[in-house]
Amino acid sequence: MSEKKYDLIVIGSGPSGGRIAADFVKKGASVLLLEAGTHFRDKDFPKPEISSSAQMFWGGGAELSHDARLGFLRAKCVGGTSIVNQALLDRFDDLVWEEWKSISGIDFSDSLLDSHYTAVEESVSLQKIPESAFGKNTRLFLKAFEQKDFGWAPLRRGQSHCETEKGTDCMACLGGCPKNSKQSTLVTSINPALAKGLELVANCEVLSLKESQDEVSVACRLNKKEEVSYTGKAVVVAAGSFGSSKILLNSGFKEKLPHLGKGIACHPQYMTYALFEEKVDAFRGAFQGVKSADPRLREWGLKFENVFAPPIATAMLFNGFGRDHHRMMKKYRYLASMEVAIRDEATGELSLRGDKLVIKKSLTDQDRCRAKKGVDLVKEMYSKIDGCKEIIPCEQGFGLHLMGGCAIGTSENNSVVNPEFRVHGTSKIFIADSSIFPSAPGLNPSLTIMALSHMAIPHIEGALA
Amino acid sequence: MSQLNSLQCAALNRLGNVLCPAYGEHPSFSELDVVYHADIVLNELPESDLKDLKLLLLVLFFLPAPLMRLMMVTLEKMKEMDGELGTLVRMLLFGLRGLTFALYYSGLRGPKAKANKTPVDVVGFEVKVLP
Repeated sequence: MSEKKYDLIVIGSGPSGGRIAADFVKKGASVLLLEAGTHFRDKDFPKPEISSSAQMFWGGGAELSHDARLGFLRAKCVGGTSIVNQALLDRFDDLVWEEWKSISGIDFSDSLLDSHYTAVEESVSLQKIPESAFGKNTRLFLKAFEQKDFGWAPLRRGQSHCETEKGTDCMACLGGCPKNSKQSTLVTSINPALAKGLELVANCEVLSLKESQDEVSVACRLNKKEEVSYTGKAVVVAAGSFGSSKILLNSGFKEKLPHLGKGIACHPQYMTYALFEEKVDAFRGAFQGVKSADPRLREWGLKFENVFAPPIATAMLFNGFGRDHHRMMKKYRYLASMEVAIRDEATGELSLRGDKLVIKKSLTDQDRCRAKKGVDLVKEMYSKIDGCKEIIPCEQGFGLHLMGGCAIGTSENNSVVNPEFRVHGTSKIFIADSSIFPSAPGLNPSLTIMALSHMAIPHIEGALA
Repeated sequence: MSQLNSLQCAALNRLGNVLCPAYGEHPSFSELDVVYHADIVLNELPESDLKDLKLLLLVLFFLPAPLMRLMMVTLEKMKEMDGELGTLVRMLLFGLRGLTFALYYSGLRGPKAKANKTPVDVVGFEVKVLP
């Protein structure tokens, strides 16, 4: 056991934990940041795709739901999701606030979050993808949208100097950006905080927490072997939906907080490929330039993503195997793709079987209808574009936006975290990551996770005082 | 290579050839000798999953290739089933396809590779980042 007592221990280094840790270092606090994954730097992000997938995600690449119908991608590295996502930073809208207000009893609104959004936006380099950077896959996405007269908008990304116009292919940065252009937590918060005294322990999986009168002790497993523990005046659990829930479940909170582990959502995503007569080379340049922005799609609970996948992921998404599979893969450069993400009902539940996390998450009838409607729309839109020879839908659904499990709210009966981001019944344990989402927003969650974390800071500061 | 013994490697090569046979420009899985790199994935698997996979590969070693193919075709047909059997089928498919395709489309080759081109070369995937 480490004898040093920290002011603050932060568990998880993604969009929530990395930023909170850095903010408290700036305030002069002694901060320990614990991360289950490895600390990769800009020059040593694992390559190729097989290595980044295996080394930067839980489960050696992906985890499965209890019935193996959904796969989940959960980052495991210093910087967390912000290292492996596309750094799409959007604010939530009234549709989300109204729903969150009714579930949580908290007065969520644009005005409540505005100053926090602004603070986060001012701390990163935000750029809209210019039309000149749109690749062919993006142009085909727009042609598809023209068929239904759907609205779209250019993506707003956290990035500073990608140089796609000079030949950088952003797909290479899905396993970590070697240019430090992507505004990951590692770039914006952790690296500067390390220079100012932040202590970071990587490859350290937190097992459980225990709060006593004047401190919180954190039990961990270091490098998959050694058992260690740390103590702090307060602890922020920021290990994401699955990670934060697992730590609390393992710490025995379920008995007092029946909602713990419940309300899991993941924006299940379904990819559809379209084979074109001419080369698309969808993996070139920005590779993702626009997003759906249409009130009809929002109302239907659908979000269309202008994305593409590298070869291993595409091979996994294609159905079947053998010669037919080879034939489809051989057309890789002629493929366009579009993904539909659905705003799913937060009905999933996490539990423990021994040391193992069981992810009980199935699509509800409404989710299935939404997924079918979305995929049918993609098929219809693509099929109307000149040069489209074949549509290739993919059956495997994936959840990349993992949310819920420790919902925020006013009542201990249907939430885990109180409006001050404190775990109900504790005084020194806080959560502000995506696990506190009361429901699925249907929008990219990163910016809001950071804004909520910013909002939590005065409350954490209060506990330290 | 340290996670798999020679029997398990042989089984993975035969399974790989069922899922990724030689066809057109595509080399067969075993021609790449890519099982040499299997530890990249296996070292990161949860302990219980790794144990199950090793046992499964050992069992598959005793399955002739035509039966292995029949097994994969049957699993594909059964994957929409409900209940525990359906779950097991989908888990098997996900795990076996995942390991095989991850290695096959890794762009890597082992020291005993007979193929000159990797499947990544065949499909024409190449990305770069300017310094």
